[in-house]
Amino acid sequence: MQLVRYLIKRSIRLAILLVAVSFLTFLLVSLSPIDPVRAYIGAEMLTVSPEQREAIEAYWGLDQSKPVQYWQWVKSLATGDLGTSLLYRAPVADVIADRFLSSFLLMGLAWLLAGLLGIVIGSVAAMRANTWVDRMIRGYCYLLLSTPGFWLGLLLLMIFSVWLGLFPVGLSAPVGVVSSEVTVLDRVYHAILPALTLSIIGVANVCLHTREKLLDILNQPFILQAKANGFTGMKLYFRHGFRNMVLPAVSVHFASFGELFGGAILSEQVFSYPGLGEAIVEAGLNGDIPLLLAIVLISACFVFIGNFLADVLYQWIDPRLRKGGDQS
Amino acid sequence: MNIQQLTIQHQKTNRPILDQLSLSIQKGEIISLVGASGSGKSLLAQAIFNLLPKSLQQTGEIYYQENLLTEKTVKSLRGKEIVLIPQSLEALDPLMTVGKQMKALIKKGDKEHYLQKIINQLGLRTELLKKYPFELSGGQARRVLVAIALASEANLVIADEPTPGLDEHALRDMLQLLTTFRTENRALLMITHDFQAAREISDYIAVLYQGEIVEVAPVTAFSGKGVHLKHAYTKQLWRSLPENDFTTVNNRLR
Repeated sequence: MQLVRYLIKRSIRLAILLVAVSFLTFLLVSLSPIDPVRAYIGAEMLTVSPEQREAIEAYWGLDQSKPVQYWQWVKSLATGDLGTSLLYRAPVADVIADRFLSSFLLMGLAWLLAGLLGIVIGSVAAMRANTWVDRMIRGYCYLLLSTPGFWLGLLLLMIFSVWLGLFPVGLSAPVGVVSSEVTVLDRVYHAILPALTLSIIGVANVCLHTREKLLDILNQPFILQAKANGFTGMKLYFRHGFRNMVLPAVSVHFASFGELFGGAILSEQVFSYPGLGEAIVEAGLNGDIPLLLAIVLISACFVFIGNFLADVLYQWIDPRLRKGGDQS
Repeated sequence: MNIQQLTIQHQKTNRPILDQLSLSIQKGEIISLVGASGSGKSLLAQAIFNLLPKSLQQTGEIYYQENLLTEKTVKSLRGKEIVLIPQSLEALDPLMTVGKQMKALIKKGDKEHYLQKIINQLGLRTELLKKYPFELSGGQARRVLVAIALASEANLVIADEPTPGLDEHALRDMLQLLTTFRTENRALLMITHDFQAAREISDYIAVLYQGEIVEVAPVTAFSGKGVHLKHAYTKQLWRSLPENDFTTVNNRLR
């Protein structure tokens, strides 16, 4: 019963969030100086007569007032129709579906990599706190945190793709291959470098957080007791440290979905990787409102789910909360 | 175990907290170190295990069965030869079931069976093993902490304030439980501010005053007018008990 109420509460919150986000996005795009018709036609704008222009506007519904436009978008969304992308001249749902998979692969890889590496080196740093190992790891993290993602992407591209030729320079599939023949392996192969770029910076976050959390735990009385009981090193770590640290660390990692999405936009730009991030930039620059709104909604859902999972994990990990005891 | 000239001081200021402490304890003995709260007596326990906080420094020698304890040797003795009954209930890992933590120091073959025996001995219920520390009552948790030491085969048990927060009945049980270490021919060093409790179960009482052990007296010396006691503070301590002259109000040195 409690669970149902919790889920309902969360769903309402999500709905409000989506309305607010879509409204704000619509407002911002409406206020932007980009004229979708001009952006769509581009250089041939001079050859288009005012009558033709009006016809295009009427066809897209741009002749109506802004509130009416928004209302119509909401109405068709309610029927499951995300509208038609002006840019790709295809249903938004189709445009997104393919890109979503690409982005999901990219972000999933990056997320896993960052999580695993971050927890491992963060643990090492904490277990060897204030030694040269710890200082090296921390220095490395600070260095990464102050590195712009796109710059790192370019660097990796230069080293691994251009000089060493180990990875493709861009895109999500080999050039000159029919899309039906592209294998999962091809996809992963193309996602590695962008994912690496994305994860390297994520690693620093996870690592520093893990280190803090673990140090905190290592100062607890039960660790002193465990040491007095003869546990040291790896045994101590896995028995008491890791167990207490890992789920909070993973929760925080889930909550970082937002940053992940933001990073993906940059990473996809650098690697011309056709994912949601690249699409949202295109949509924004060309005033493709239906596509932009759809991607914004999806990313909002995505970040919401991340935070939701983080919340659920937090509740679930602690037996004090799980068993519904007092929370002191 | 034999402690000689143990001094614990602040790393930076060199101000001693415990000053040239010497104490020895034999198998089958219970010795209580009695001192006021905040006198640094808990640090003695940490020093024996070589687990003092980094800001503190220990000097002096500790021998266990004639062997000098070094940072290295003490590691191999922790949990095997020497165990700690901690002061705080927070010494239990909040995410691990009580049963699993109790099994930590059982090295013998049939762990379950042995654990069961100890549970029975303590008068605890088996369901308790599946519970998490936060689900225990204060008294249960204290008994679990003792049980962990009891389950080990350690010959030397250091109990750091095992009695605070217990009601009269639970206190009886706890003291009874602590005497089992003597019955099993182990050595127990109880660090406490509870002079009454110390007097009931100890063979010797060491009195800590201003960072120094001012007197180690057999428990029999604490009788009558305390004429066998040497140090003024010890005498004062003895006379402060309710059944004696009641000269000071702080009967438990708090």
